[in-house]
Parts: sequence; C-alpha cells; structure tokens
Amino acid sequence: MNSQYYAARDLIFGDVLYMLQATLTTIELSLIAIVGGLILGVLVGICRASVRRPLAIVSRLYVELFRGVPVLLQIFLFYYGLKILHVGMPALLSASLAFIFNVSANVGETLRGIILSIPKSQWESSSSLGFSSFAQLRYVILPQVVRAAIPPSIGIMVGLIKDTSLASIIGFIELTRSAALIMGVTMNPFQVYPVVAVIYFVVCFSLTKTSRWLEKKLV
Amino acid sequence: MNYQFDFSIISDNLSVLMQGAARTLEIACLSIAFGFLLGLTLALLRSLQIKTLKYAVLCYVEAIRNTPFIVQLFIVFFVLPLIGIKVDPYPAGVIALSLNCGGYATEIIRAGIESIHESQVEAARSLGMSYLQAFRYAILKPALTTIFPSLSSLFITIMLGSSILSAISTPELTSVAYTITAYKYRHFEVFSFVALLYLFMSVLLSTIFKYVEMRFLSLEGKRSFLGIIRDQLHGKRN
Repeated sequence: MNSQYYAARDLIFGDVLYMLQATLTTIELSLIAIVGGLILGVLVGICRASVRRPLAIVSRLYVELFRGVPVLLQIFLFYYGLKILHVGMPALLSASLAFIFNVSANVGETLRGIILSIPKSQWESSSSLGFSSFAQLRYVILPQVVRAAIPPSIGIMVGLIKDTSLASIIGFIELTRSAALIMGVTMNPFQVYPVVAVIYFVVCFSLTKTSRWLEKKLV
Repeated sequence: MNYQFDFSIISDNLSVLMQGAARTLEIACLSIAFGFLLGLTLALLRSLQIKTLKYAVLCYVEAIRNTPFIVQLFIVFFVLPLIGIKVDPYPAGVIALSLNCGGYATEIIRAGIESIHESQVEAARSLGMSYLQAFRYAILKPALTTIFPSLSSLFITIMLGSSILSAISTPELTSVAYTITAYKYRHFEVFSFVALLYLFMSVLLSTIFKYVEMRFLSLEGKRSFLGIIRDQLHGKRN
C-alpha cells in the first residue's frame, strides 16, 4: 500500500441525522414507485395471463424489455430523455418513472404466475353455480390472487428499496447520495458506508421478516 | 422540441462499445463462477449442522440480500484499502459482484440440497446403481433440475448488475458508454444503444440457459436445439 489515507474527521451525530433524513427520501421514492408500479403491474399481469394473442405478445415484450435492461440504464434513459424534452426536476421524475416501469414488469410477471396457478376448474365450477363473470372474479379468483400476491409484493418492495440507491448516480439525494456527500466532508469511508449499510439492512430486513411472517400466516 | 438525434456517435465508436460489451461478459462470467463456488461452499458449510457455522452463513446471506449492491461495492472499493488491501476498480468490481452472487446462490443451492432425500439414494442403490451412478442420477440431476431456473435468473441479474460497476469506473460497457458521451454529449443516443446491447446479452444468456436446461435436465428426454428456441419464442415453459 503506497498511498496514505487520512480521515478529515470522525462521523458525528449530525451526519447520521442527515442520513436518516435522506432515508426518508429513499422511502418516499420507493412508495411512489411501488404505488405506481402496482397499479401498472396489475394491468401488465392481466395482459400477460390473457388468452388474446396480441395482448399477450405486447405485454411479454414489455416485461422482457424492462427486465432485460439494467435498472441503471433505464434511469439514464429516462434522465437524459427528459433532459431532451426540457422537463424540470429530471432526477426525481426520471427515477420515479424508471422504477414505476421496472416494478410494474416485476409485479406483472409475479401476478401472471399466480393467475395461471389457479386451476381452470374453479372458473368452470363457479360458472356452473351461476356466478356472473364479475362475481367469479370478485368472490372466487380475486381473494386467492390477493392473498398469494402480498408476500412476493413485499419482496419486490425490498428489491425496489435497494434499487433506489442507483438514483444516487444521477444526483438524486437519497440515502446513498447523502453518504457520498458526507464522504466528501469527512473522508471517512470506514465509518460512513457501514452506517449506510446498517440503515438499509434495518429497513429491508424488517420488511423481509414481515413478508415471511405473512407468508406463513396467509397460506 | 428542436432536438436533432445524432446516432453517428455510435457508429464512430462501435468497436469501443463492443469491447466494453466483451468486458461486461468477461466480468459477468468471472463473478458468476466465483459466486457459484462461494455459494456452493457456504451452502455445504451450512448443511453441516454446526450451529456457529450455520449462523455465520445465515448472517452473511441476510447481509448481502438486504443491502444494495452499490453500497457493498463501495465498501469493497473504499473500505478494503483502509485495512491494507489495495484493489483496482476491475478486481474490486469482480470481488463485490462475486460476494453478492455468492450470497444469493447460497440460498438457492441450499434449497436444492434440502430437496434431496436420503431415501432417493437408497432407492437408487437398491436398483443396482454404483455409488457414482447414484450420485449422478439420484442427487446431482434432480437437485440441479430444481435449482437451475433460479440459478439462471440469478446469473442474468448478475450480468445486468455489472452495469453498477461503472460507479467505481471499472472498464465495462456502461462506463465505456459514459466515457464516449463526454465527447459529444449524446447521452440518450449512446445509452439507448447500450440498453439494446444489454437486452441482447440477457436474451442470449437466457436462451443458452434454457437450452442447457432442456437438453440436459429435462425429464422428458433430449430435445432438438431448434425445438427449444421455437418453444421459447412461443413462451412455453417445458
């Protein structure tokens, strides 16, 4: 090791407080993306499970596109695309849009699996009992789909919270970016990054635990 | 909107971009190989039923799975030099990606190990198989069949995740693209092309994995290459 590292100063309580504030921004961004992504994802999932060929093909391309391109590139494309269009607040907007589309593809794919896992006989028997197609959906299919979809959705949320760290690369100030800013002042990666890791861990692990608990409870 | 798209920057720098794509595949292959070995080791250690070891592996897996990759990368790149290990961006990237892959692979491989029952080996032995045959047909093949789909999607995620290494300027596709954009400020054009390259690489990998799965692990016997491609285009699973 030929270079010497000097920390400018130790991490102080104010720094940690700043990072916790930035954590709130991370959570805000995640909430925007999960709400938008769930709404769009339900549409994608229904199209994906549909028997109509054009719908199925278009939604499959959509899913392949958003899952086959790195999230970072998606963020870049929205960011520079919005810059071309001269839209204000490009960082927040492009990060939100990128995550909404990304989450919707993941949710759609999960929903497709769940919808297809419901046996055909349930549709048949409920229709032979005289259920209208709306009543079939409302009382037979939907309750099962919702129950099965909750744990994987929380899993997607955990993945999303981790992915929001990539918004730091386009300069959106969330937890990871705030750490980089504090790094610039303290020059002390030894203290800064483990703290960031711990904050992410606490948020994500509690969600993971909740999802495992729900999985046991709902099944 | 008076923006003129100019894609000439891509044709001017095509060879550089292709080299970047090759580096990305190289990094992905290395990380997948190391990560798989790490995952296999940890999963085997975990199955030894030694309590301390089991909890150590569990802690590692949960730490990897519940923190963002970019933070893990920064820890490898910025914190390791402080304890005396100096790493360049390239090895740092491969190390971080392997550690990440290893954490996820451990969980998948553990599920594979747990899916095998002792009675399967006994049954195979009583059918007159040798130990080697029993290992091959009663342990390895069913376990691989169980875990292969999850493993292949993990490997594709790792390939896509290598784009994050651009944050520490490891020479791979995304950071090469970023360097090019500095000449003409044509970010959108360059990144659209790069996104297509990534899409192509992930489709390529998933086709290869699908082929391997159907050719060697399918329970219905061997299939022709074209048949597998055709099924994949039609979106069939097995």
